[in-house]
Amino acid sequence: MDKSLPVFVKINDYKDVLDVVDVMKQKLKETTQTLDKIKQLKTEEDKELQEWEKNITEISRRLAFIDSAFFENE
Amino acid sequence: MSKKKIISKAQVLAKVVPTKVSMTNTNTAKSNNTIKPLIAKSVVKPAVNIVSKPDIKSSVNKPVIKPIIKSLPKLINNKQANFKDTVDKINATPIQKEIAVKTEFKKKKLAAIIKENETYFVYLKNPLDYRRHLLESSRKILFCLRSHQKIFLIRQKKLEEMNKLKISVRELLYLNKKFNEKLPKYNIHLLDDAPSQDMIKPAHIKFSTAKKLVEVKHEKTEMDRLEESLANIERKLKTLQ
Repeated sequence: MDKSLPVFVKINDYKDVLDVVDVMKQKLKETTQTLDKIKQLKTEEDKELQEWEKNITEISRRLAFIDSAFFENE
Repeated sequence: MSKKKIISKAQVLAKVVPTKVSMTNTNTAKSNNTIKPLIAKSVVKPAVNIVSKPDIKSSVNKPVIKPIIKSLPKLINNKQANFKDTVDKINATPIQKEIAVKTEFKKKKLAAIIKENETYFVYLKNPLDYRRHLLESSRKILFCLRSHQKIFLIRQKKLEEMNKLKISVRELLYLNKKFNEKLPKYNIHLLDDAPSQDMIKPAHIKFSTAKKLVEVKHEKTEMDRLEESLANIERKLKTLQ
């Protein structure tokens, strides 16, 4: 079977198809923008989490220092 | 000694009526009521039942001030029973757990010392340093809380964006469907000179399974539907190859 046979589309349908393709293009653009936004938010979240981790480490360090200072005379 | 005597004499002369003192656990206060106002002046409330090291020379003259520490050992003993279990349950790093256990052990030892000798003083070399460290820690904790709030807001925004994305994808799917509808419907088998039996079969199966699909429809989830459409597309792709 020859699957590369020509396909003919009605002119009215063809216009509709073009419209649909246009809308699809717009939607795809929107989707890409939303995805970019999500990526950006993810980066921000990661950054905040890193900051969080840093702060927690700092607190642990200071607490260890205070703890050792308070109990060094035992 | 002379200073104390002078004050005592002055108090006696002025006929000072002894007032109520906040510190109750003082031996001298019990023995001599006239010194009570003097004690009240020199009392420094201990923040965590630990006060600075007393000057031996001055302590000879001044009455010994005992901090209220009786409740501390009792409290620590009560907490120790379930402490290890609590530490294990806490979602902390091994280092943090180790620090917590070590501190608890030290507290235990300290409590034992306090029990033996109620007057216990710890000398802090650089109190300002510790204060600074504590304040810095508090600051960092507040930073953490702020970060938490920020992350919470970011996640909310992210969820909103993901919902938007979901809607967009659905719309795209719908448009794709429309697009396919607009394209001419032709049967590949009709174009084919010699249609094979394998290609015709799916049509029959489609009809026969339709009833079954209607029956099971209510159990289908979004995921199932997506899987189904994916399988359908893959099948179509296979036929094209």
